[in-house]
Amino acid sequence: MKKELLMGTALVSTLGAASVAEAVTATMSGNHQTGLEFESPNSGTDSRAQINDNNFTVSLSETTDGGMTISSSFMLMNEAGGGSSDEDAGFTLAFSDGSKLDLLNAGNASGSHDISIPGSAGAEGITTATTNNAPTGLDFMTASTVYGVEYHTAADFMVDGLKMSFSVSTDDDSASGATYGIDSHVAVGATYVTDLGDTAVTIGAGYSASEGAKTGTQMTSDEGGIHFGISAVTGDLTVAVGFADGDSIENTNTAQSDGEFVGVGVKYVSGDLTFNVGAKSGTSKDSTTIGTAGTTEDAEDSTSASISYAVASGVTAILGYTNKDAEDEGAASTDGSAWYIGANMSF
Amino acid sequence: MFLIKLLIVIGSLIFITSCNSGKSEEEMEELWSKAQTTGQIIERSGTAVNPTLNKDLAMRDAETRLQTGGGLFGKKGISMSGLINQDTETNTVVGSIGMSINVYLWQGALDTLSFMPLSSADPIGGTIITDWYSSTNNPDERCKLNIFISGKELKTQNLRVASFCQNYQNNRWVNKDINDDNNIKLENAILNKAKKLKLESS
Repeated sequence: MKKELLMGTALVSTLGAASVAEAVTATMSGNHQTGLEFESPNSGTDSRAQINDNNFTVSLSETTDGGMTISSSFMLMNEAGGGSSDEDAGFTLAFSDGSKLDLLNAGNASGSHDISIPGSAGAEGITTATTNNAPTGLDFMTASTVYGVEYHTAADFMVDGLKMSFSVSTDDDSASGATYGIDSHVAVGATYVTDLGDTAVTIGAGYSASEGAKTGTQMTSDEGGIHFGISAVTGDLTVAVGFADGDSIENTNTAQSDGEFVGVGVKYVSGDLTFNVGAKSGTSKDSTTIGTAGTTEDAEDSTSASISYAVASGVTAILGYTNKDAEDEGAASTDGSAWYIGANMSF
Repeated sequence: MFLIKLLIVIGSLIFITSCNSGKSEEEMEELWSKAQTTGQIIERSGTAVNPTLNKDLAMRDAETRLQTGGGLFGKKGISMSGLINQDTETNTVVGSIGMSINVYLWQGALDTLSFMPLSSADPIGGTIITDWYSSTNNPDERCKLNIFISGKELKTQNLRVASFCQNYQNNRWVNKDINDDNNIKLENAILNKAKKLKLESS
């Protein structure tokens, strides 16, 4: 049967008649996280809370006779987002040579190639000051707009072991508003894999540059920067370290931050048990006047560990612990430690 | 300064182009299956969550699927066509007629031990017994493995490895003490292979 379905509307209408044509593969999947968190701040009273984060996603995909796969997904329910549905979606075209093109909500190519730094797999967290803008991950400066594309090369691009991504996006409307908005970005990311004896080594790096504006006027400070990381897997042991340096816009686009981040982590798998230990350190000089550099420093240093047990296919039980030291504008700020016990279920 | 930067760039290019030269397609696939960037982890897990919209959620779902060998209903979730048409053919869990053991553990064990000669393999009883094997690096030591697989579920309790090693001393083979650590490492390797096979097939 000749199938040339390239339009999203065609995909959806075909889904409605799936019992007739079965042209589109439609699947439902999701993730359910629930558990108990015990938070112990250094100042203030201890507290406990039930953690609940559930979501439900519908995926559609279709492979043409030429071998190209067109796929899309949307989240029907995201309880962490207040129980509302999340209608943001995009298309991915996967070509027969292994390359892919993301269209709409495509993201930032730099953020696709950051090294995963092991740390607690639990949902525990310490509430810090809302004005503390210290970065907590390698990809803190990877802004993009909804109206963008990201191209991922196939594995072994140009040389064996290399894979790259490129992305661009634009949004003049957002930048014309009274609040700062990203109006364009360009980014590139690369992953390189090789081995040293029995050790598999992954190197990930990315560069991103974004332009933003408020009431249509370009700002002197925008989001952008670099990250670099390396990870080694030998047997059941994974060790990773990463570094990032860049500028970001924080606090729902009301503050600018010049930040640095360093992370290191270790993961060990023993049968159905996975042990994670990680340490992260982020610093930032922030300012609530976008365009004016900050002078005093925010900081967040955290150490975390977890044990997760694979109970069954798609189900893990997790025990996690995190300790965090924080500074806001050069002074000690809200920090402390937290425990978590709970379960993740993927279906 | 420019010269130093140029040398660093040239050195990096030489490093990148020379590291993987001569590797087979299978070796490169194995390396990519261990890549540790967030994009690669999310891609090989099969999660449907768009990382652009919620990267933390995508990583959480991906790690859960990779650690457990897929989701509750397989790598890709529940098929709507299966629900509508009761098309059980496409939703049937991979199995094999006559096997009372987990097919992924069985295949994972055979794949993991493919470098050793087999003495016997019984898919009904779930036993794999290898012949004696010596590596070229250490010809004075030889080992033999007994693998026992029981039950249809992919879990640790359904797999047991027993290894027996001997040293060549005074013109005869002498038994070594049983090394439980090696047995556990082998069990982990087989389990990880079985989870990968399950992810690939679902």
